[in-house]
Amino acid sequence: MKNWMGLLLGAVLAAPGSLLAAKPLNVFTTTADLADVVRAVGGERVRVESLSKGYQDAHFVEAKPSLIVKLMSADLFIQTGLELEAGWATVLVQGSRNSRIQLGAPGYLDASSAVKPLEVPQNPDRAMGDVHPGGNPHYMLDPENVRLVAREIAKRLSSLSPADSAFFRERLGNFEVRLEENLRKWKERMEPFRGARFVSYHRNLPYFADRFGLISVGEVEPKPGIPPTAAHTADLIGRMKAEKVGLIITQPYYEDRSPASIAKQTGATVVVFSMAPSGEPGGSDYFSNMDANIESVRRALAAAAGTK
Amino acid sequence: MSHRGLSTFVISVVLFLGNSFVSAQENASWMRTQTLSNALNPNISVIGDFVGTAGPRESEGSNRFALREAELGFQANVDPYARADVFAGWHEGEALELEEAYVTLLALPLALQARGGKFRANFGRLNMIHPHELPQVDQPLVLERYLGGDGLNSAGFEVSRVFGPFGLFTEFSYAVLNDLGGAHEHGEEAGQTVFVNARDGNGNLIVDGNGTPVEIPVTVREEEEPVKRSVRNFAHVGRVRFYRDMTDTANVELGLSGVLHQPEGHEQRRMAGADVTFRWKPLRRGLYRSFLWRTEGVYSTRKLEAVSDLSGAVTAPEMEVDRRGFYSYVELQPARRWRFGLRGDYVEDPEAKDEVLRKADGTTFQVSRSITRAISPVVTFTLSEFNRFRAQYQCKRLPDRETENIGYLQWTTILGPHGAHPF
Repeated sequence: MKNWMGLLLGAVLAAPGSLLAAKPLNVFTTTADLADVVRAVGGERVRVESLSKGYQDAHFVEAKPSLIVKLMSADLFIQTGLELEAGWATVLVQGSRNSRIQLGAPGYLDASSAVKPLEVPQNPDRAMGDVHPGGNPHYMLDPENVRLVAREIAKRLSSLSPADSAFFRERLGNFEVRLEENLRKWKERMEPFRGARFVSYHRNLPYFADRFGLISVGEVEPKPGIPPTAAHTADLIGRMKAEKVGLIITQPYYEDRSPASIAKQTGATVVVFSMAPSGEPGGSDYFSNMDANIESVRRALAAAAGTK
Repeated sequence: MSHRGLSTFVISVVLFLGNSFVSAQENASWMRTQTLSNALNPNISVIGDFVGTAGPRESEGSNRFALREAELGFQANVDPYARADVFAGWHEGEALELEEAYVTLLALPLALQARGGKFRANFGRLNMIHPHELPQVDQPLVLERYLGGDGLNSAGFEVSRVFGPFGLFTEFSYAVLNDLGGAHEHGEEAGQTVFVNARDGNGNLIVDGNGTPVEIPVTVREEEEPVKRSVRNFAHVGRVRFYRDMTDTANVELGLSGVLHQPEGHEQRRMAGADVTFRWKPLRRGLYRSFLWRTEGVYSTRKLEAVSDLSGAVTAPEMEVDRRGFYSYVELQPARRWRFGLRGDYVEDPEAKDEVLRKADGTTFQVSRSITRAISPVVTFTLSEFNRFRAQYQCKRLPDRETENIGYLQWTTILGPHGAHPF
């Protein structure tokens, strides 16, 4: 009888703790790549959702009130930062009236704080187009930056749920091992194309190009955020022909006509490069998305090398 | 050069360089300090709204270009709990005017948010939007006539709460304001003499032999002294808004608004408004395609005071008039930079009664609720996120059955940090 009583008492005392531990953290990210990193590090101890789809332009996501409703229950909000979400994220966070995720609160994380941004303009000016004064925000295309962001996310998850910190640390370790293996594989696959030249629709690939040794010759846009013009396109075609550029990289959210027209006149191959998972079929998580992107780029460069 | 001369020269150069180095270090330090302290300054933006109008010669403001507004905005977080927004506007020919200045409390419990200060009240769908951000060059006629040229804008306090039952965004807001702003919405100054239509003891318009309404001079009254205010003088504005995603690309929004303002010794107003918005924007190619349909209607009841002329004789008795108006517009974006829109307006004069007018030939015709109708096609070209051009034509049918044709050209330029995209 005494044993039964003890068991019952133990169960009652343990119940609130186990209930609390069972409740996952509600995490919302602005982009699908950040969501995938949170999923990898947080496992079943987090419930994560991206506010944008992988095939959406993260700069032009609409601040829909339905997203405000989602953020009302958030324990952690993570954004890419560097003004990528300047047109909508602040409206949503402040509109949610959720004090846990306001700027400066433990539940607010700007992932760019973990990385060293590239292309920080010395004297930012709107004459340069829609430049980002803090630097280029597309740092998640460099796996080394993803490693830094994953560490920052693990740290933040641990501070919000200290009881799970060992769990997060272990999953972070696994993620880093997987990242290291994939990075080695991606580098090997891209090595034959080191020094290859390419053109992108928008200036969003400097981190990717730096990591894999590609050289950007220019953009389809004359300046960031400015649609292509005839004069700029003619100049770009001239440069591509002179430098034998065989690759144009664009995104699913940009129009097809300009890259297709340039490709037709230069013989280059157009590759639709997904900035985040689920952007294109075959890229359901960060690794498979990068796999698909690297395979597309590699094939296009191989084809260009074979024909030129 | 002698040895001594050379030494003096070298020492001078060293001293000069040394001073320069120290000075450069001090400058760098000073600049770093300045930059760091500037980092906490508010975001500053300047928006220029340049409008050219072509229309009837007798219309005020017609056939000229004007800097309709140069707006200066300051926005920053005050502390972890609040944000401040200040907007001042300079209108051509007028002094700099404080348009809005309010603080929003962001960290209240129970998903509440509150703001205090001078602000555009949350009534209808467009009242909170600044003129340069409107979807057309001019305000919809019903908002201009019922809410005033500057909108419902006054000092007060507002509290709002958001709910999300079954994923349905629901927002309630309630504000108590000093008044409804725009008391002299037609631009008259207190003490100024203006001319109004004369009416007989029954409130009917008095016309001369040619059927033209007779105008009489009246003096715009001074604002009532604050000491004479009672709680009845406060205006109350409420709104409930519902929003739902129909699909990933389409959504619908419904709003219901109300205003109650029954001050002592002033014009009394009650208004109810309803608005509905349908939006479509593809996720993948949202940069290039979108569609929006919006309709908003306002029902107004005004208790008008008796009007007297300069001698004190009553020229129009106290009366209560019920009027309504609405607008509806569609906007189609077929390409990244282009948007085409069409707006229809219907508005009854909120202060006019049904009346019979007599023409010069002696025939009469009825002016029913002084209705104005208008149709306005508009085309918008967005050069960049910070530069926009717009052309609009408006064909307006006035209560006297005359037709007025107006053309607008607008150029809006934004200087400053990247703000929120309108939704």
